[in-house]
Amino acid sequence: MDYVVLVKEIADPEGVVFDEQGLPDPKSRLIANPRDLNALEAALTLRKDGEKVLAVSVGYQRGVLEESVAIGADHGYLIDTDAESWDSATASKGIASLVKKLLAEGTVASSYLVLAGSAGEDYDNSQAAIRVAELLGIPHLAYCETISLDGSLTAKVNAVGGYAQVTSPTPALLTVTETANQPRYASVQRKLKAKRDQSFYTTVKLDELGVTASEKVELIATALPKEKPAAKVFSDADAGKNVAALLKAMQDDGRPLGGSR
Amino acid sequence: MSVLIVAEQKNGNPSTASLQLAAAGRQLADALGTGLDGIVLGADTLDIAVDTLYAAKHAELASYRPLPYARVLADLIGQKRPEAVLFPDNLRSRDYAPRVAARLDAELLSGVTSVELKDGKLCATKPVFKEKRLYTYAAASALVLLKEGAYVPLAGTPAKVEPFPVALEPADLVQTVEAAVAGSGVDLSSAKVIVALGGGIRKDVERGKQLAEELAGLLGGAVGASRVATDAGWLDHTRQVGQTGQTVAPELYLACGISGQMQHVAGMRNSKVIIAINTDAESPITKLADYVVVGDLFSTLEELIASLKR
Repeated sequence: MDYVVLVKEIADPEGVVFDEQGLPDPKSRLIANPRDLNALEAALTLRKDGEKVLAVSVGYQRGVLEESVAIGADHGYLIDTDAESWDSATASKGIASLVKKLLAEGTVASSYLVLAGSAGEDYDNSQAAIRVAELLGIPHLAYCETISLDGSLTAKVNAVGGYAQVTSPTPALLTVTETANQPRYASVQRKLKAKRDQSFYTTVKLDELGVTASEKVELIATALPKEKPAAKVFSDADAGKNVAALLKAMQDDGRPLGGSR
Repeated sequence: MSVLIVAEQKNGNPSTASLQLAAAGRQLADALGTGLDGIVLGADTLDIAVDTLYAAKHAELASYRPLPYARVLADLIGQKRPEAVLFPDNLRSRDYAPRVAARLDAELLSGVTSVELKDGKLCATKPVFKEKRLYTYAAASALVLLKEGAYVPLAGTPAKVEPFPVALEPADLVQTVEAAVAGSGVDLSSAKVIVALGGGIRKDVERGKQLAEELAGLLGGAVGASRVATDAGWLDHTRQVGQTGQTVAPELYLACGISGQMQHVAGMRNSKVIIAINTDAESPITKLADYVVVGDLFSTLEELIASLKR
């Protein structure tokens, strides 16, 4: 079994800086999408001796691939696009095309899993990975918490109202939640090696994969979220007084606790 | 031209999110000057206010699996070619909708809070970067996952119900899904009031749970939890509200001892009224709350219960 892990570089949602148009400033700190590191961790945990873990990213910088290699991936593939913008549909076509190429040339074994984070924490599109599964014609398992490959592929997944246990044939694609595991850290030596050793990386142009960057969806406006009016705060040391004041305020605001009881 | 909503049913009733889709879909259809159709999977009808309801009933659709769902929806959307398809935004639609979109080479917008027609284009607004900005996207046509709580539910019945032929392929049936491995299967999304517990109950977990149950009972609501409380095993995972749990938008949300991490807030920020009970007046939840009680959550809950019993 070989493992292809989809990793994405994003502007850190905690520290992102926006320009005048409300777009993320290119100077914003870039990080690996946190859940993609959970996906990488899952692959590294499942991998047995002699099996490959390959990281794939769409973009124009390979920082996230260096991080993946430093953490333990064997190789990083950058699908390079000069296009200013591309959407999830385009990214998924590029990724599927690359995986098909790696399968055809035998770089990826015919028995394989694709893993990705369950959503990007930047735009919350949460679709590229599952689109890849469809384009590769393989089943997918979303929101995996635990993954087992003993005999057949089974996973405990988050589902509406709780968990579900999914059994699936392979090859398959899995998306992994942030609670699935604790991603390991890279050693300093490994980080240096990942930075210096060019042989870890392959860059493929998007158009070489037969995909044209397109965006059928156009961003037409950005806005700041509406600020809520400041909360009414009750901080008396006496809980009884606090609750009495809270109930009165809610009554005065026309939304009494317990409704019209 | 048409608008299609993908309605969800539970025990034969439409989900609240589906009624909200009916409202959003009708507005959009009126703006387009077209009809509003719907589809329900695994049932032969549903009380939902659409012109034509396509009912896809089939033994393989009785319980949820992504591949059969994707097959039926891609078939219907491929045939009818609606300009807009609205889905409820939840773990399930995020599982099957990307597959439908890829099969049809269609655009998909998830996490959308409002959708409208502007200059003949479908415009959808959604929060990005953990709700730091709202982005509005325009497309000629798209599949849209609409977040719960953004529209006032519209009740009604379909003008016409048409069975939709289900044609599954062997490849659609390769997976087995056994639902709800563990847990109480509490559906918080229909609760009018949620009393949610967080890390703040660690001093006396049992007492905290008991008080929350009692208050929720008095208010006709349910008990929810933050991930801190479910990860610690204090409350069942199925009670978790947040990005990896349930998304809720009740009339009243009491956040008891919950700091308000983004993870949690993402699942409850559309609640109509939010009361935060916290010892820390600066915790992030206070920025979202309408009312903040700074103090001990146990004695505050006791006082609330006492006042409701009076």
